[in-house]
Amino acid sequence: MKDSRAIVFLKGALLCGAVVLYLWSLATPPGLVAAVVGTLGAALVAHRLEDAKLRLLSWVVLGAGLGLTGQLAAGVLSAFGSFLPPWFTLMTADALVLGLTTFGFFLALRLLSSRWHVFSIVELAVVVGAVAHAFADHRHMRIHQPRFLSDWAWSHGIEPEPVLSVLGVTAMAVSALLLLRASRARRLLAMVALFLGGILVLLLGEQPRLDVPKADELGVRSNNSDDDQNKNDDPKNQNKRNKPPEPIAIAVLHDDLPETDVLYFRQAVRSKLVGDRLVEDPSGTFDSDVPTRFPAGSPVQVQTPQVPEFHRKLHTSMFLLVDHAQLFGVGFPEALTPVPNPNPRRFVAAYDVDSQFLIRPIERMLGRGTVPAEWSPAQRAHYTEYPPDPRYAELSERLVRDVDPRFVGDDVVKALAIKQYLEKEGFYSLKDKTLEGSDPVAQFLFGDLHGYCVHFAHAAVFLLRSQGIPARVAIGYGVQTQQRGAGSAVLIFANEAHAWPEMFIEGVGWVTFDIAPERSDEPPSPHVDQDLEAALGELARKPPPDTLEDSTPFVIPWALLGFGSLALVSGALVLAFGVKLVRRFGRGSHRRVYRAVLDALSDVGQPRRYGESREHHAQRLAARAPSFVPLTSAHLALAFGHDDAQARAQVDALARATRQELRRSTPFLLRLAGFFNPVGWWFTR
Amino acid sequence: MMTTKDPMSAPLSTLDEVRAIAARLRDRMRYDVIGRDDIIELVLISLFADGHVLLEDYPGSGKTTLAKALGHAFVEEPEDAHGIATFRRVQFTPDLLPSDITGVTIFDTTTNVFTFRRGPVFASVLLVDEINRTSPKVQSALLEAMAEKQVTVDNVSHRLGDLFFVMATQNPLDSVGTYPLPLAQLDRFLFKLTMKHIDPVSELQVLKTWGHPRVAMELPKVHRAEVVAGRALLREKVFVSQEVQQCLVDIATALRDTKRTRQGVSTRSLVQAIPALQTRALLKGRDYVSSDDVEALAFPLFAHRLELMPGVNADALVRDALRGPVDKLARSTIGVE
Repeated sequence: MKDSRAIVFLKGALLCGAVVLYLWSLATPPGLVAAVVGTLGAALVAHRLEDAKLRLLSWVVLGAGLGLTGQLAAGVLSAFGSFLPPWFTLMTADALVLGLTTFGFFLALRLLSSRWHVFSIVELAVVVGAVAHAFADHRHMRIHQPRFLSDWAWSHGIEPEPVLSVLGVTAMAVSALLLLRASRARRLLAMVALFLGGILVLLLGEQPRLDVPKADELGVRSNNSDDDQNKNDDPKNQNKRNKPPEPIAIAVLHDDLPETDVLYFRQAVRSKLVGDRLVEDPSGTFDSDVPTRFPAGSPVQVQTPQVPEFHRKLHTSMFLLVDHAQLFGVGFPEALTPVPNPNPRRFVAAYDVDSQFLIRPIERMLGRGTVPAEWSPAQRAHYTEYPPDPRYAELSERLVRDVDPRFVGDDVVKALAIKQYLEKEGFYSLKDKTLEGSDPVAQFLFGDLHGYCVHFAHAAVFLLRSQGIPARVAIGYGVQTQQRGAGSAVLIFANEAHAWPEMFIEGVGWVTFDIAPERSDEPPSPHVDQDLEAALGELARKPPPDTLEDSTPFVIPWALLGFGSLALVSGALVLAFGVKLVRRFGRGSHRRVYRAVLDALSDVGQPRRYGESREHHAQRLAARAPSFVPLTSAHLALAFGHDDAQARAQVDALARATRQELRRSTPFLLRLAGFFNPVGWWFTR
Repeated sequence: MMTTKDPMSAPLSTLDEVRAIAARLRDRMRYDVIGRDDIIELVLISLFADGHVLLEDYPGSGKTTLAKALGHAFVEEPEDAHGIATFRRVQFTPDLLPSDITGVTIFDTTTNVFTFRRGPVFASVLLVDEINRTSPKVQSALLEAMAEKQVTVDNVSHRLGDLFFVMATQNPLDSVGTYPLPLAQLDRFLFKLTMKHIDPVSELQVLKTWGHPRVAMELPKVHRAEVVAGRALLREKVFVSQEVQQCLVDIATALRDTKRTRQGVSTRSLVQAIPALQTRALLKGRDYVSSDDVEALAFPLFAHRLELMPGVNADALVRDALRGPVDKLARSTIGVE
């Protein structure tokens, strides 16, 4: 059955969609366009070539050849294209490689699957794999990925899970319908039904509006946009300020809380200088002491340089109330362990945090150096790099010049002097819009010093680095301890998002070095609703009553299953061999004798086929067992004819002869396999 | 000329004797018609099964030669009491009238009585050429003859011979100005045989032997009465088991129940199939009907009786319908007794 043109286009479009999903984050725009054109072209050309008489290998060679040609052309282009602008070379090479590779690959695949239906499964796997690839981060029902979809759903008040499920299932079903062969009308009907079903599920899914806060209003998308980062880092967007703060997580402390004004819940650090600002180190070589991965299944552990005598170990449990991109933990988290969500309707995710918590004041660290001797030059350079603006060094020199002469040269004192300057002179304000544009840190620091935490943190880090002190910006949440209740649960609100500097002190590790400007135009944040905090803490500690029965986790009885299936299999084997033996020694009637011979044939893979007459079966095997033909005749004479004494007498002898001939004509290994074949008789017909 | 024993004096008693008669007929026909052994066998089966044959093929493919060979394989006997000739041939044309084949009553002026003049239908082997070229009126006149072995003219029924065997031909392609046989009429034919062109080797053989003196005259001939006696004997002696009958019913059910046919096969076709199967078993040297016979005869027996839905291939349909019943039949031979 040849596909109609519309179906060919639809299939091509489907494969294009898969290609786009695969290449979206990898290819340049021209490469993407070339890949789409190549895929669609392959589908159309394959349709045209469907009847061409070529062998399987030819298609594969053709496809691989086209892909190689693309690679070669791109290589030639980049080797001899030095006189061309680099962007042109890059994009042309990308377009060539992707266009030709996709064309070759899909041409071969489409042709193969039009010839051998089994290859449709490969096509199906490609398409479904693309969707699965896009949804791969959507695991454990904890994080709703891909974010562009889940964010859209959240912002429309729809549960993302049904949206993702419907999309995934629809994509798979549509692909299966399109790629696997079916009659055209039935396919069309099924597709319409699927479409309507999908819409229905979406409509139904829209009914239960969520009571959890919406993620995109919380400003927690800290790692999504690279441009204008400082602005996006600002969690307290002005237009949201008149709303009450949204709770985003509750932390349950399992130990007594050390004396502290602010509890810092760190989520990420930024130490890599790019242009005029700091970003998270993309290489992963630095900041390896900060856990960034979500603990999916097994705990995430990191090595921290925190020295134990200055720290205390803290064990906390975190319960996220909203979808959150990165995890955060109090102090310096060392290990994140996923725990069962006690109340999935209330919490998005739950995990335990083991962290180091600094318990000594910074004054106790005077006299210590900052850059450890064991650091590599690269590490040292990484943490002390600051923008090539001479004003940073000038300012920091001026600040450290004024310190008490007893402490000249002490890095900690230098740092304190910088902190003092920023706290005294700085003015905390969320209203200042002049800080947008290029180099907002310099604008802030060498301007009127009006800014908020991100500016203070960056300014402090750059000043520290200009003095050769390793420092980085940490982001997360800073919770004022005065404003919380006495309970062991700490409620974290969206408006407590914060950025603060960390500096490295030898023999201590990273030290939280927050700048708290003395002047501010922000009203003091309201006291936390202690009832809410306590209630949520309760909820986190124990599961809701209606899910109590789930508290004992179901353990799969592997041993029982294993032994059970073993017993079942061996029982079946014994039974099968028993049947085989009984039938093998069938005597007394021509039917049993003949059946025994048929069993022997089935054992070596020569049963009668469905719809084949006894005579044809015998003729088919005449070369291997010539006596089988007269045996079959005698058997049929007895079965269909009169009771024939002569035939009756012959059956036993002929059966013996047939068996002997079969033994002689069957290779030894096959005979051995037939001897141990427990289910041969099952195929006797 | 070698003569055979007088069939009246020593009636047939064993199947081997019937088989010998069939072999004599076959040998003579094979001598005259080269490269058509399969068709000759089916014609013989039809002859012994008391059925009629519709041959469908292209002009000049040897239909008439085949029919004549059969006619000439019988011993020329003086027209018996019924006045039945051994072999007659009628060319059907649109202007033919029923009386042209059945015969007419004419007034004899010398004796002043009406006498019946027999038409060509009063023959043991009747070749009806281009049966679809004549009007339904003539076709249905032939129908009575085929079904009842008698013709009725002026309210008087005249018996045809016991051996009455019709071989009709039609051209499958040249259908302009024809009256295609209705299904009811097709159902009267035991087999519809489609003759393919013979293979090149046989064709060359035909050219070589054409016009040479025929040694076939030396081969033994057959008495018409022998065939009639053979029919009766094989019907009695060749065993048709319950399972084989069940298989036939299963095939008929499969052909009726499928959505690919508008009309399945008739019960008459099953009734007619039994002697055909018996004859084939006999020709194959058996005294019982086996699944092999069912498989071999299913297509010529059933394919022409089906009214198919558009686009359905009768060959494939019969093949598919056979599969289940034949499998069941085969299974029955090793099942519990």
